[in-house]
Amino acid sequence: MADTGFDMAACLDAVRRGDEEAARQLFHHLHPLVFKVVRSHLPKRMSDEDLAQTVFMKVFANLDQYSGRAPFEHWVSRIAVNTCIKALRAEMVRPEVRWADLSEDESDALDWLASTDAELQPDQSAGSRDLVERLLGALKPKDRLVIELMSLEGRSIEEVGQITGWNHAVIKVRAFRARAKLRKHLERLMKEKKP
Amino acid sequence: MNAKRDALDRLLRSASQAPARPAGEASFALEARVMSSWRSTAQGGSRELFVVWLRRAAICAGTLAVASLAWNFSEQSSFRTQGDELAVADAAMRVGVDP
Repeated sequence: MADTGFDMAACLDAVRRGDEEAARQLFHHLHPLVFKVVRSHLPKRMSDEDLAQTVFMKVFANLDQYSGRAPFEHWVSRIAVNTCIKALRAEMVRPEVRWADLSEDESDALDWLASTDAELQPDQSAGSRDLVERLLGALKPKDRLVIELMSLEGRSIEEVGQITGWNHAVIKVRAFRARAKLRKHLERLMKEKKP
Repeated sequence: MNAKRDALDRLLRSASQAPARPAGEASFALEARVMSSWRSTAQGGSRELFVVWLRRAAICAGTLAVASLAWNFSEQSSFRTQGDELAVADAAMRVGVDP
């Protein structure tokens, strides 16, 4: 949130006093952050708007519980992440990823990985992002979350701890196991392609 | 194994470089639903506060009632013990006076 003209403390006070215009400003200020989190951790059968609405309702309903110790955006991120984990948990089916289901861009990225040791080309990044999202869909919500936060968003262990509330040891172990599971799915997909 | 591990690392590196999908403008429908929910929360705030206060008062009253019962019970049992001791002493005196 690099919006320097926005006075968060004053806005929060006004919202707590029941100022509707301040609530609207807060909604617009948080919209990009909430959508970024929601889209990164979106269950397959849910729209981003529905999940974002749930997050916003939780934020406004629990505004009095925000103590001010951590930045407000961290608090909102945590609510958003927990809401997404809950939604992902409710989605019981974790489909196996199959070669035949991949899009052209995704299979292009996989072909590249199987055929060469070189880095993927910049124009393949969207395909590889889609492929990773598809592979992540086969993981448990917490495993998926730790990969997204650390490997895709490049967050540090401290930041992941602030967002999730997990301690450092838990994060390291979960990241290690999640990567192992992801590797297994990728290897299986590459083997499926080879014959 | 190393080549395969490298494949995952390369895939994740490439995926992390993919441009973020823009959040875009907040849709009017979403804004309307969120604001409507906020309004109902804000209006229901005083009622919820009263309910919370009422719940706390009930818990305090319950705690006081239990504490009072416990104190009453302990008082009665200690009185009963004292009464028993007095009866024993009285009986002993009677036996001593009237053999």
